[in-house]
Amino acid sequence: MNNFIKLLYTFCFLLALTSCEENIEESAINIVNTDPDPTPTGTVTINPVDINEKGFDLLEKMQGHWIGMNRVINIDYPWFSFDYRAISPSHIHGIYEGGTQGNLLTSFFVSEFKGKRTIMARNGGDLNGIYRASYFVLDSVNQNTNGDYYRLVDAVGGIGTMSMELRFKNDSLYFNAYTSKLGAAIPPTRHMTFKAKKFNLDLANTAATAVNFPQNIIEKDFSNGFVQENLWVNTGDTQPRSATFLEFDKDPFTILEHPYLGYLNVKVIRNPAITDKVLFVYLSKESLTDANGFLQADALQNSLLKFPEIIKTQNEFLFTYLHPGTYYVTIIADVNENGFIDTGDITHVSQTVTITPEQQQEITIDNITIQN
Amino acid sequence: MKLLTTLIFSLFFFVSCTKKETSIVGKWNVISPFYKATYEISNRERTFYGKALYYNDGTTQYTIADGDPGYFFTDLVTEDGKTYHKKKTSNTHKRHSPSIIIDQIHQDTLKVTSMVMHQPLTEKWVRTK
Repeated sequence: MNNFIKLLYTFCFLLALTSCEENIEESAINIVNTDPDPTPTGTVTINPVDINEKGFDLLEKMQGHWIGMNRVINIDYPWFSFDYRAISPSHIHGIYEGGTQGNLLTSFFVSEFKGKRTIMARNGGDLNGIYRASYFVLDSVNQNTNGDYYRLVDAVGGIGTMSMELRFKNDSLYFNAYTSKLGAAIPPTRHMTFKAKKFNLDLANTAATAVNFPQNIIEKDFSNGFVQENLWVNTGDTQPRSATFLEFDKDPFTILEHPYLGYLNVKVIRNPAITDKVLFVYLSKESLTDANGFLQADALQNSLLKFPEIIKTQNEFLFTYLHPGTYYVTIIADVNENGFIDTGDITHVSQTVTITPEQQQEITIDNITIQN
Repeated sequence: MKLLTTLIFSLFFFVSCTKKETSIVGKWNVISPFYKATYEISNRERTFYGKALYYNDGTTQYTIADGDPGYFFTDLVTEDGKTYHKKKTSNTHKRHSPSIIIDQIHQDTLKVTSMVMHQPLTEKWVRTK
């Protein structure tokens, strides 16, 4: 097991060194952000990119199981991933499923906004008990030998409120996000830095074939903008500074309108050895264990797709926004409660489940008894 | 003899303090797996200023050759071995730290704590030429 942990850390370290640093070094020319001062000066002007001219390929480029490292505010995650697959001809979706704490998603789709055929993004989820959906619009595309750069800004407040930048170079992705507490703490500051490499493209290819992706057709029409009274307005403000909705009923594009995705409810029968333990509820492309129920490092590194954890008192978890397909389900009890997969953690032989579009499946795991 | 001893100690104390205050001056590389940056710290009278000579986080990059980016931080002062600012940070480097504390842990190594969304982010900077 010690070798397994060493392998995991070695992988993270090598990933950090090889996949990210080298590519930054080689591309360190001419990616100069020359956009205007992000501090709002009163009137906000947002100029969507017309994807009939450029930028439509963002949807295709986003496909893949992106594995890398992530910095969220001041917390570093040496291993992190987003699994992006098409869910319609013009909509691609990825989500971080955190478990008890909630989730965070970003999807990209073709829209009509401010008189332009463009790409918009929906970012948010249900995190720490707060529902949020924020909408962004593609306003900058820069493609050259150093990679393909795309910027999406808050669809109401523009870059002065929130933005996300993505650059693709070969099989690498650089994804940075800047936020300002919905315009309450301007100027925006860096919120997320995700650097990753593309793996398991076959998963996205299968989804693309199933939904005839990609096509330049409108997935969600925002040509009339947003319902103003539904937008969140910060305390003390009279006008919204962000295209953000903090209530499900006011969100113009809820999960109910998202096609193709499915649900999985995982039930756990705890035994005395794991009664008071945090559980990792993992979904993966390959089995995370061998035939005897012992964890396999290679599978954890390269095929882990969803990695939520649930608290000691929780015995059931519902995956939402789940891409259809076959998954291995593995529950790991964090015996020493250090937040990592570790020697002594208890698991079981991974079980498979197949998610079908727009359906909910359920699986019960009652044999979590194998101590690694 | 007593006067001489006092003078020597005073001189030693003065030199030590002076060296400590100015030793953060120079060029520094940020050690981070998430981005690359080289900052230059200069001083004017008893305050310190920082300017980015190079910055690359994967989507945003500039070099000093692209034009003066302005100061990353200004008006830092040294107290109790740490260097930090008492005044509001210059607004010219908007996407980065609004507040910064520099702790020199070695002649060539700084522990730099910046506030990101009111959360402390600590990084290591190493001296470069």
